[in-house]
Amino acid sequence: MATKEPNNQEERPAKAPRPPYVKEYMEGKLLLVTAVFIVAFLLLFVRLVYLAVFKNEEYIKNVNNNYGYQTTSIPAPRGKILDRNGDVLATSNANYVLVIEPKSITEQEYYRIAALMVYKNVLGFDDQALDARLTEIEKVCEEKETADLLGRELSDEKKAIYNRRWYWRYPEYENENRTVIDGDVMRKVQNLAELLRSTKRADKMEAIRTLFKVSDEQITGIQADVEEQRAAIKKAKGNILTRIGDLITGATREVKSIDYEEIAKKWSVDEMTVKGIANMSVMRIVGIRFETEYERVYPYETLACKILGFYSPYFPESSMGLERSYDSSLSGTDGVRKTYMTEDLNRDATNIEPQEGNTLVTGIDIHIQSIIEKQIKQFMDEIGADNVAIVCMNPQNGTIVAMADDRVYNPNKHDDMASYYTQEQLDEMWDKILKEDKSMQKKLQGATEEERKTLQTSGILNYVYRNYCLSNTYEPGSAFKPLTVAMAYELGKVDENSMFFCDGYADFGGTKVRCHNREGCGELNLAGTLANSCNDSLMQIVERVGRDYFFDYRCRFNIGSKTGVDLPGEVSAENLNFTADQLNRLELATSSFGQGFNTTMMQMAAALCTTINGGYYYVPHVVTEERSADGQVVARPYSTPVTQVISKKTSDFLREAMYEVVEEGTASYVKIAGYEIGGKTGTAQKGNYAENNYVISLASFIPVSEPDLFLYVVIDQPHLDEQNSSKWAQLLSKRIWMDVIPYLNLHSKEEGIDYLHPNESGEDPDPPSDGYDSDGFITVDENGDQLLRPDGEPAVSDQPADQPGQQPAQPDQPAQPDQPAQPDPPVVIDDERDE
Amino acid sequence: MSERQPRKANENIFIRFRNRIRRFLTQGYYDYSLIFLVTCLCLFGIMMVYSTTSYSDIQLGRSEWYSTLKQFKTLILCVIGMVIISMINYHLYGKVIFVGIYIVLLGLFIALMVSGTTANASQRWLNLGPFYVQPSELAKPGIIVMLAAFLNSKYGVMMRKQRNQKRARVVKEENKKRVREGKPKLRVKDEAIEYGMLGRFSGNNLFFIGGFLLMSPFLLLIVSENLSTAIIVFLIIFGMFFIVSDKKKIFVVMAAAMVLLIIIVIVRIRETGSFPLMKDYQVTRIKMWLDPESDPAGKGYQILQGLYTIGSGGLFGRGLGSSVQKLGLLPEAQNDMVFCIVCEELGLFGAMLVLFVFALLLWRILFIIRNAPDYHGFLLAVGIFLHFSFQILMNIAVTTNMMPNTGVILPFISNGGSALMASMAEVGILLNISRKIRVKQLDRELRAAENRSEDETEE
Repeated sequence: MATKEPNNQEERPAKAPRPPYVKEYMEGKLLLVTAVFIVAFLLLFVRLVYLAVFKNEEYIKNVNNNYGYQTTSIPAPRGKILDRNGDVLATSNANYVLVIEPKSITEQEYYRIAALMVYKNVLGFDDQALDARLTEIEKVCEEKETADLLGRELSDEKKAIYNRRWYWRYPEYENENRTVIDGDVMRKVQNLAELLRSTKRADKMEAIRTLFKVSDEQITGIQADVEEQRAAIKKAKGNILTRIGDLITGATREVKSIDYEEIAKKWSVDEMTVKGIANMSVMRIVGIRFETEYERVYPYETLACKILGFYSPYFPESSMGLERSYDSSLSGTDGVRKTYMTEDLNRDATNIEPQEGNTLVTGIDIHIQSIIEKQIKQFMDEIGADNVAIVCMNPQNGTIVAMADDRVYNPNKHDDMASYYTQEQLDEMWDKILKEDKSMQKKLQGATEEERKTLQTSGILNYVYRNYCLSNTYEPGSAFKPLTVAMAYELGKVDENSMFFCDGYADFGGTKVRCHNREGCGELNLAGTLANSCNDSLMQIVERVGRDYFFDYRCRFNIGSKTGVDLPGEVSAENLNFTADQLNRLELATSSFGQGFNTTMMQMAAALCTTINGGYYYVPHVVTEERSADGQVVARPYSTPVTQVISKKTSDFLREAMYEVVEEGTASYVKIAGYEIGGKTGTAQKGNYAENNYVISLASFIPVSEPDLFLYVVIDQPHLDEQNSSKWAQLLSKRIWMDVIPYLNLHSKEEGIDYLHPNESGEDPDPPSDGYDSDGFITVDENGDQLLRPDGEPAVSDQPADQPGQQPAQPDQPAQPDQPAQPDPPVVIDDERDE
Repeated sequence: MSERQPRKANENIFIRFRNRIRRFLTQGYYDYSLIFLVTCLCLFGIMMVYSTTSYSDIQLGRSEWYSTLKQFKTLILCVIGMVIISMINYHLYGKVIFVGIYIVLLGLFIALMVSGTTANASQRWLNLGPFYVQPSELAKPGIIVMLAAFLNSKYGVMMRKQRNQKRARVVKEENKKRVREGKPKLRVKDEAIEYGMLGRFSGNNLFFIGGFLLMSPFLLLIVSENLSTAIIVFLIIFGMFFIVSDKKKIFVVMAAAMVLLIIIVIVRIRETGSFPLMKDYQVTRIKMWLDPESDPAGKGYQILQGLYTIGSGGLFGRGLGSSVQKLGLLPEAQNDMVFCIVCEELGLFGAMLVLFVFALLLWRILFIIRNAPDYHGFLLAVGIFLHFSFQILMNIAVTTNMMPNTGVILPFISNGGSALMASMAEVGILLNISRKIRVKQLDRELRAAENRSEDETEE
């Protein structure tokens, strides 16, 4: 076949004679093909250079991202909230949540065995259920493959199951409850996984022992049996040569697989155990993880709920209170766990540790807070009112010491109202909401039953969460008077000796604005106008101040704009205040005693604090200090006053004047023998003056010389027949002071009266005889009149406190033409205005 | 070179056998440079197999050497097979072995259809007792051998001959004449009687029809199972016909049509996202080829990771064995995507070195083609040349995303027994062809030996 003649190809290949049939064109075409290949190779070369040189940096980054392809975030605990004594008001507890990854578990049979065993023997859950679920997922995965090939879609339900192959909080799947694992159990599982990975036999044995709950004897026995069977099978299978021989002769060998069942029977264990032990060397705990989650805990439950609020991890924007306003400080920085391969092919991980959020130190005092909450509850049980709210501040720096209203919830279970309120109360609230909120009624029109229900639930929740002190507005009434007096005094328009004559009313172009005392209070000095809460005199004073100064000082006292308190939900009441243009004579006159415009408790409290602390306006605030997790002080917000509104002299005068209000004037109910308390009452008619609904209030502070504590009590529409008396606001304040004074360690100035050590003072051995019972509740007022029935029922409904005949005589009070027993009734504006 | 001792004929059967071996080793041309290149590639392949499989082997609870040893054992078997094949006279393929290969391959495919092992969702593996084989890999050398034998056969050669075309022209003219004279046309039977069996067809027609008819069962079977192998086999057949045929126009037209079809497919898929007759997964692959970043975690994952792997190697790579992407990030790192790992570990420089060795290998094959002693050898070598070229080009084009993703392995380097077997068998055939090349000096010695001995020398 070959050419007969020898060729000399290596030396002269070009001249080599072609073999027969190989034509010249064939070589030409071959050359063409080769040229095409060379071009293609060059193209690929260019592409490789492009990738390796120009894309190098970018792709190294991508690969490095892959490096940490198992990047998991480690949640950071939220910062604590402390009260001013260091008691923890809110903290974060770690929970471990079990996470199952079916995709990894079903990869190998022995992974699955390990996972099931961990489930059964370590975690103590139902391994059958897990097994069934894993099988279900495997089945759905297969179905998905077929469906993909056929171009079909799975049903939504199956899609959901398919997606769970990566990540699955088992058994949340079934009952929507997370399985929270104890920290010890979690560490046990992690330790087991570590032992299984170890190459030491002793470690492995220990892990297997715990995992399968078998003895060493059983392990070695089963291993020996399996080895024996394996050897037998290997022998039966034969080597390659015998197999080729079989292939030629067509003989078939019967090769048995390992008889796990028999071994299981022999060692009285189940088959899975035998399989697991047979594959001991490759057994790993895979696809069982634990995620740390932090749960927000409020150890004092309902205490200070309106200040603290609550934290909702899934909807942080719907959090409340401090949790919301300080969310960015409280929430720390999440850590990152990066798992990667080391060069010797081991899995290693680096952690960027999570940083705990900042700790908030607040000015809250849990004792005072709890006293206030207790007293509000007591009051609500005894008398009841539409709203009761109390703000307690330190006037010297503006920190809020306590703050509460009558709607309480438990931040630990903040959306569970049923456990705290009865259905009746909830219905009552709903009625109230419907009455107040016109937009809600509109929403309800045409709503289905279900929508109605969700609206009702959310409406009640919002109602309960709302902080009256910040979010509700009201007319402050006479409690505003100190501010009017302060500005007049500051401006020099009046002084201590200025005298005013009250004839019972003032006439503004046909509109008669009356003092509460229709006969008129007579002649009063400046302090007397406050003590008697005389409207007519105040109108005279404000006329001297004039509209521009009044408006200016109202703005300086920050009435009608947000105080900037560090709590969410504050309203400004700006639209409910007169602008400078609107302040005509009549408006100016009514404004002088706090009617005609609205404000919030927070604004009033901050402004009144200014009048008694030397004239400094502090932004009211809860948080006094922000500390990082290691205790370093990060920030001290609000530690300096914003402005000085009035001089110290004015402030001194006002303190004295307000002391007189308590000692001799309208606020005599709050007087506690031996203690210097200053205060100012307020009784304001609500919106529709014809309805005769009142907001009664009392601002009081102790001690007069240098106030430590300022208390502002507001009762909105007390459930009394006649509401127009601030008596109950005073009594509520007094109850609180009676409890707070011992706690504050204030000593009585008068001898023999010492509420701190009642038993030591010989004259007062038995506190109840002094007017309050063993629970510390006042039962008898200073004049011995029974205020409460022995069974705790309010006596007041039968005997209205504001009836003149029932009023206690107040011997200390200076002789005044009007009746001191009729404290602080509101303004009466004649109906002439309406005509 | 020759250490042969003068000896008597028929001395002893053992001595005769020994002499035969000795002569085999010393006589004739043996392309040692080809062997050297193939050895380099195979050893490098073993190294890469170790690099890419040791981690996953450990993960699966095996020894880190498990896959490497398996591949090494296969390699030894393949080397033995290569030596044996290099001793089989390639002219035998045209006679006895042709039918044998045809039947064996057909049998393998039928067996595969009846019972195959599933890997990557399509049946590719056939359990043959002691080992698994991939019939589609074995089909490549089989088809090359058969096609070469066919083209070299009486029919194949005849088909190219002008004589047949002349005959067809004669029949045509005869028919025209008959039509003019009102006589009936020549029937096929008459033609056969008058002009011989193949009279009716022009050479080129039969050339194509016969070739494709011969290959059709394999093509069909391959297409149904494994598109990438089908493409390569088709390209080999197309290339061999192109080189062998003296026609040009028809191939230009066919190539243009193919390019047009490809463009239409790309445009259509880019516009509408589907193409008639194409399966969904094929459409998806083309989509991903055009824009792998549209689904970086899903269908485009392998492509993107492949590119990242290549690019992250830079000029000199991370160093041998220190690839990161092989640790479970790059799918098929030991098979189709092994070139990526080469790039990552050895950088552009190492990849160029590997490509250079491949280029040398192809150059050696070209050398054998150009010096083939006869037409049959020429055809075989051309087929093998085309096979290796297409396979290497397609593999690198896939890894660099220059063409849609199809499972093409890199010869000699990728892990996998069947592919290595096929490649080594082809190298064996090449060696056998190269042995027939007569070198001047060697030939002179041979002739001298012939004079001395009465033993018949090998053809």
